[in-house]
Amino acid sequence: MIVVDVVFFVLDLAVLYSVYVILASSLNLEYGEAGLPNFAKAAFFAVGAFSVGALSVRLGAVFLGMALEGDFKLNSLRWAMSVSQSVARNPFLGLSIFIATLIVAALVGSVLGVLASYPALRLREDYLGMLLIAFSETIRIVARNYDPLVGGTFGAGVVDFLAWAGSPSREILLLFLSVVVAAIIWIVYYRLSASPFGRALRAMRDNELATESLGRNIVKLRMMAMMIGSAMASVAGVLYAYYVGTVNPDDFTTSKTFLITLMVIIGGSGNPYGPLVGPAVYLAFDRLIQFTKQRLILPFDPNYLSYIVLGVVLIIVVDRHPGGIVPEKPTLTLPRELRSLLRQRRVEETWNRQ
Amino acid sequence: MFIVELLRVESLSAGYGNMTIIHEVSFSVEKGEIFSVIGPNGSGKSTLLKALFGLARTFSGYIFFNGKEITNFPPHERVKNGLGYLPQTGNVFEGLTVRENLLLAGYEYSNGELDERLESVQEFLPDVKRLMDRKALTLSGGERQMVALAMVLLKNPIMLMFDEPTAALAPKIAEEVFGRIVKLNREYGLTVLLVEQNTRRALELAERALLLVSGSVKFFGSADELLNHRDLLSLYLGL
Amino acid sequence: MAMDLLVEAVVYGNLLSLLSIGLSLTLLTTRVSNFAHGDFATVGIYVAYTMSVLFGANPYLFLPFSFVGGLLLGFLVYRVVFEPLRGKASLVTLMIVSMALDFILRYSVQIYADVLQRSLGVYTRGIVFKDVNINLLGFTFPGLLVISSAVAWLFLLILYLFLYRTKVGIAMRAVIENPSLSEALGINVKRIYALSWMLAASFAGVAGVFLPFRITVNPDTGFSILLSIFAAVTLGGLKSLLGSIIGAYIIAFSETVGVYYLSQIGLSTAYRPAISFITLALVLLLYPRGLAGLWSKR
Repeated sequence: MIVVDVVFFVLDLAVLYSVYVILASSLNLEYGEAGLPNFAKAAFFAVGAFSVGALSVRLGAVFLGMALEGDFKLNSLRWAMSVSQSVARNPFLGLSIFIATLIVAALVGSVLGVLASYPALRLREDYLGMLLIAFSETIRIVARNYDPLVGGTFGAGVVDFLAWAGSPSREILLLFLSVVVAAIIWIVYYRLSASPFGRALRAMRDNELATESLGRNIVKLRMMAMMIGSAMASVAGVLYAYYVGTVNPDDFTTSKTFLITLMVIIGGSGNPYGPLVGPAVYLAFDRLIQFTKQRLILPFDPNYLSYIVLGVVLIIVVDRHPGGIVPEKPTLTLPRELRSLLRQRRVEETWNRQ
Repeated sequence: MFIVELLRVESLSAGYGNMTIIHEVSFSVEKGEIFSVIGPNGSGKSTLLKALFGLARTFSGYIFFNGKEITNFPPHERVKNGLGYLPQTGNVFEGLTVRENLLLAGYEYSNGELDERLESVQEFLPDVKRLMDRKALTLSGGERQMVALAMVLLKNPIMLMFDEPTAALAPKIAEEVFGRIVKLNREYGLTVLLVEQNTRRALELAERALLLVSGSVKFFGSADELLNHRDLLSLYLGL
Repeated sequence: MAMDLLVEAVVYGNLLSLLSIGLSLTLLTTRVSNFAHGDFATVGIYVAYTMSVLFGANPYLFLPFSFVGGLLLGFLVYRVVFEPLRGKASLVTLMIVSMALDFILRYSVQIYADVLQRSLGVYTRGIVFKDVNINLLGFTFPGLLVISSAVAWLFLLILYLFLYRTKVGIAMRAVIENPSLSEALGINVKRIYALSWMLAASFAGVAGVFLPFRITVNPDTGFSILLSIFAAVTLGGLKSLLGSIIGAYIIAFSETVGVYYLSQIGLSTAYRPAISFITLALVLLLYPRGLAGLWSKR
């Protein structure tokens, strides 16, 4: 029995790791490379998950010719289970649901990402961050209160598209799928980072004026970065939703965005290996806390302590080792101090422009 | 009469971040003289002043002022030792009134002492009195210069460094500014280090001068000599 | 009904103005968009609550303690967290650091709440304070209205006098405008920065004490009103203290009235934050200078 426990433990960890690697890569692309503080990361993550939550059951019903009567909020779990039963007999059904929701999620994510890139033009970086956070919270609140979307506070049931595979094949397949998707996305990210596109993003991050004068279209660069990043985050959301089995709006708060930001900073923003390191550190720490939680008797909930420690770690990293565990490799362009000087000037320019 | 070196700069290299703007600059300024620093745009004249005041990064070399080595002193220490600096911009607080600006310039003095100093500054710059309650933002270029000068004078400096004081000023006002500088030097005995775009006037008023080109010294010596040095002036300044 | 709404709006406005002016101040001096600002208020709440439980007296009496607690907290936060980063961290990094700080403060309060509950056997979540009635000029007013107004306006007046009539206050305005010139003139910029954080946190702490008189309070209540505080500051024009105050009252009135109408048309009042979000978004996108743009030339 212990062996099975360990196997499930590893599966669990690997799927979460894959999801976080995708999210961290997306934020690394947007913030680490392009300098866009996408603090609405949780919202784009949610877009993927909500696509699954809202559509998997409904699509399944459409494919099966099933009529759904009643309140989505109250019945989604039940409906999800009955669709899953059909999937158990029909793998094709499961796969179509999966692919359909994946495509919708990626598309919606990309479009929203493009939209979100527009304010970046006119706003100082920290104000942009503020706006994106507000946007993120609003999406969550709408999802929480508009019941037909993902069942409000009850959440939405998700179809088990792998129901045709018995346990543990099902879990292994899901693990395999997550790892492969994460690997593909990370490799894409790595390639982008090393490509002229990546160099252009970094140049734009460090000095917009210079980049513009060299003929690069800043608007288009930003748009592409946000589009790709958001599509990635959305895909992560899809994986996450199928893995958990339900979708709940309260899972996608700004705290989630902050956790991912933490992973990116601790891992090393601006370095393509950062998104591999950051999530590993976070998960290791998280599991450690879960482990010791059962062994320590404290007069309070130990989860609180883990958040406090994470916050402290971030501050220490920013103060002592701002590059993160794998800092960005200096390029042959501008020396770091001059870059930060230019960045400072750019900030002041934007400040003065307002 | 003794000739006293008030400022001595030895092999100073300075700049911002990792970038060196001025290289191995050496010169000296004698007490009681007007010393001009001239050169084409971008030659590092402003950076030199900033480095002397402590606002730019010094990579190597030494700065001696009034008998002390001040190379690593923070700006307000240098001010305490008698060094005054009048930058081209950011020399007054625009959102504050002239009165408040002067109050801040005299920040470390007690009320009584501040009043005394204010009086003697107003003797030299009587126009300041009528501007006291005006917001610095509303002042003209020349008026702003004057207030900035008043602020620096409040600290009782022995040497004043001016960074292009007549830039963007009408010729008549520019002459007023030069007149004040000369008066400060001749009547009040202040040593002056003057960075100027107006090469001719700068060399006419000075005893000695420095020609700075691309961060390096191309001439250091008598201002008259430099003024008459056709070759150097035409080569570097197109005069 | 209208009277109740008016009272509600004014009280909320008083609260919000104390909070916004603090957020504005630290933004202006140290350029930090402080995500932990709401938590300063939460700390104020729990200080007053702890004392009122220990001494069995009305929480209003412990306002000075929340104020002093805020002074200490602000000082510590600035010295330990933000001063070492001065000149080294970008604006976004400072923001991220403040988010980390929010985590630290918020969950520390959670731990404190748990510990307090266990040791004193009192409820430390879902806190509500009971108001008193004040009789003035023959009318009976809710204590919250009178006291919050008096405290808020008194504090704002004192702040104004500080900034315009005292040397240190004028120095603070100078530092906000031009830190390097201030430094060159011999002003201790670090001390001014620390002072601005102390003011911000202490004002927030005091504002916090009023919260449990109007809503149920938990350790994350301060964080939950952060959006409204940011909206108020943004509306005022992020670089204006006066703007923040006016913005605060406008947001307070909009939210109070807006929530009333939401319930009238059958939409959940949980959509309340949308008011702040929409304000924030519109101002940032269309007219970033905010209200201050109406009277300022810069």
